[in-house]
Amino acid sequence: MSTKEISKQIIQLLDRLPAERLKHYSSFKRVQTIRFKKEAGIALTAEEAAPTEKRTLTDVMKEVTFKPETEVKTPFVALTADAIQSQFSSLKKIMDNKYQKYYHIPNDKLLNPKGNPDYYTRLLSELNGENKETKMSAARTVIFGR
Amino acid sequence: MIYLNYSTHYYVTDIAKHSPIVTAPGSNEKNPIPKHKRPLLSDSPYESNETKLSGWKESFGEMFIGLFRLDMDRVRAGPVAASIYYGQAKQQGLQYPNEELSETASFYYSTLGLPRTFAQWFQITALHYWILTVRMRAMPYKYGHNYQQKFVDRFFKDMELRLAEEMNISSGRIIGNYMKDFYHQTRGLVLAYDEGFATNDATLATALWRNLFNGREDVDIVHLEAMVSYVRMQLYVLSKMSDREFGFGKFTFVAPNEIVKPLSQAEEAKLKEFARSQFEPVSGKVLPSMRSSLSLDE
Repeated sequence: MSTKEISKQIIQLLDRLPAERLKHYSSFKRVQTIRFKKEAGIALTAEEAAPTEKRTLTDVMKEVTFKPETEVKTPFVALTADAIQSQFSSLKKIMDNKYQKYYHIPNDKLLNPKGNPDYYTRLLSELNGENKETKMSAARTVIFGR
Repeated sequence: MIYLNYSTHYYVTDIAKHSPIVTAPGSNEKNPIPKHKRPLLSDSPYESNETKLSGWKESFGEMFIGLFRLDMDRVRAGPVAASIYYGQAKQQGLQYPNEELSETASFYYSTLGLPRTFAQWFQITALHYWILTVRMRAMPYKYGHNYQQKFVDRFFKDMELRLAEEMNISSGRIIGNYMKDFYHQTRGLVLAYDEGFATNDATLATALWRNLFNGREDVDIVHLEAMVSYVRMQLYVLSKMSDREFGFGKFTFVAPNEIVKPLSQAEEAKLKEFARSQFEPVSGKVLPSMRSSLSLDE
């Protein structure tokens, strides 16, 4: 299979990545999709091509206060066939949950921890937007620690 | 030491080195040479390996603990979480300019090619802090919370001292700003890793990419896979340890060039039996300082 074909398969795998529950400073899915689109020679969409990072006041101040280092832009170097294949096979193992299954932790010992049994349930329901914390429940967590 | 069977399954270093992409070792050109190198834990002689209490001091201590019925599980949180476990977590990525790297540090900086900086050391230590936190949370709340508190107190105190003495920062204001930044990063990474742990490998991998790999566009996904297997392996070992063993500081991180094979039921039973023989001798005689209410079964 050609490197372009494998890159396209990587992009398909990246598409299967679960949606991020929170907005982070950078998105793995987005950054890697752009990277492998370049490898596959696929044109970026307008959304992908647009810069995402919003400059904060601190960023502006840093530029004013400190002389910015001259950024050396490394030219795009395509990965070799072996390298692309290794990236694909590693991503496939990650997407298939290989290590979670291999190092299976039974009885929910860590996921329903004795010291704070609802910790992960509350965390995930908050992240999924199912059950938002109220001011009272947040205050209770701060006071009692769980 | 952990008494688990190591066998030829997934060596983390082998996964990482398997990649055909050549990784340049992380550089540390901009790191200052420390004026004064801090001891691993603290300046206190009681935390050095050479110090041993004299016989009468030990006997007096045992008598004191027995007489006042001290809750040793609470007392032990400091020496175990803040000394043994913090010492281990700190050493994983500890490096100094112009000095040879330890075996684990070599994995992070040479094999994975992470930059040899203070911020990167923080990320490596914080990852190990989170791994331990997951297990501490599974202890009874009264004790687990205390272990977490002791660890994090030592972590931030040590960072503050390292910034002043090893990174040669003399301004308290600048150190304070760094500390606030590290504090926010810790809160963020604990949330991200917890989410990854509770969901799937893909979410854990993205959390590792954002934090440990600094969101690098050209990340080698083989390295990311190696780190996912590393984290899952450590958590597996921790899940097999009883509260008593963990609470007494018997856990050591599995090195990247070591391997843990999932245990059979017979092996698990054997390990439990061994732990029981270590903590509850047949004679039933246990020193007051070794008493514990932590479970040997869970």
